[in-house]
Amino acid sequence: MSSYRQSVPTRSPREDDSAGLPRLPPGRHGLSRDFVVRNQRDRLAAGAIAAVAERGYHDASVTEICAGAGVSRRTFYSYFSSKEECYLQTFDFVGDHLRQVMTEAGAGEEDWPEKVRARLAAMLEVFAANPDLVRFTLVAPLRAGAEIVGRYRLGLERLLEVLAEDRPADGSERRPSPAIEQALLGGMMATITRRVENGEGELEDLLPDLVELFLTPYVGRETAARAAARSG
Amino acid sequence: MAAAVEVFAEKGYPATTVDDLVAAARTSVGSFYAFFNGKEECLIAVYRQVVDDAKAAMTVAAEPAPTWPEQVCLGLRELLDWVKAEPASAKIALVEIQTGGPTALARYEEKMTDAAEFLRRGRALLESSRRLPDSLEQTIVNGVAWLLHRRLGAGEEDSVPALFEELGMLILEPYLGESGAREAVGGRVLAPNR
Repeated sequence: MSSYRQSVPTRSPREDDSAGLPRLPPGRHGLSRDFVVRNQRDRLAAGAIAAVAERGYHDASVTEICAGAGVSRRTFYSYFSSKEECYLQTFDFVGDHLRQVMTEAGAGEEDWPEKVRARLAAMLEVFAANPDLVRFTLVAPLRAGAEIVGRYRLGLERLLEVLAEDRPADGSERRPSPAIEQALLGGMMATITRRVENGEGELEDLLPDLVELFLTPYVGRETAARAAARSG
Repeated sequence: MAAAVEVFAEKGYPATTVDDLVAAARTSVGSFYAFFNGKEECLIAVYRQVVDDAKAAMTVAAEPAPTWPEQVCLGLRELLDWVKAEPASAKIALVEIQTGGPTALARYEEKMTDAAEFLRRGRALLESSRRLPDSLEQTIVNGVAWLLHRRLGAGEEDSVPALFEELGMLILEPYLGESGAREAVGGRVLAPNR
């Protein structure tokens, strides 16, 4: 692992290193400063996601993130004071995106179990389209240690808010405690992680399982199983 | 070994150095390397020991019970009591091992798979018409682990035994239904409806 760090500085950033994003041409290119900044930040996010997904949080270096983003270390340090700050901002950026996609997906449904199904489907779709996001947001934090785990914990709490939104409060539904809700979500993320890491089957095939697992403590196993059956 | 448990739990595995381990054990770098190739190997050895101890205690507690739901409840109660009584060991088993590199992670996942296999026996109690999600046990085992991870990370291990009822429901409801799970967790196990 450490040998990689030594080999990086000899590599110059090339277009095919830039996580699928083209490099800006050097010098004046007639683009507004805002656009350049936006573009550089997006590229740094993509570079961080690619580097951490491949190497893990501790072994991914700033040099590697820059190489992936096609920007200089100086540019990196104009946005972030450290790798940790870069990771945390990118983590929040991915989390915001995920929650937005999930919220939109649930908006078209009437019943809460259907909303949950649509939100989980949207989440799996995002992860399936880019498995590096699973490695960056779900795998890396638990392996990184305490400082990063805190943000992961917060990320799951926010994700839960999106899933639980519009849950009927008429007393007919049970309410698992926050502890159980967190256990559920953490377990579901581990199952998604395992599927991606072991490369077995399509991520989207997990949808009926996740719908049933998540809903059971709220609505009981019969209703949960019916909602899951509709997503098969 | 006991010294290593305290050091890893206190400093966290990523920040722990071989020098820290040597100092805590009052030994020499030379004798450390006579036992271990490096700190990951030390972590894995410590992990194996704490997990074996916990598993043995859970087996002793659960084995006398005549039915699977009762075994689950007794084993769960023992696990939660162990986390409170031995927070440093529990931290090794649930938190630090995950930060230890690919070999450490593989050991952790083997143990999680063992636990999921034990829960999977509950499927024998289901009516034949009922199908459960294939990933149920994996999700539940990892979910319980994550909840304990959170509590240990926050230094809230004393609150862990109080999770017994809720976690018992989470684990048993898919197999026994709501009322069956409630009976089992409350200590009155119904004959499983086949």
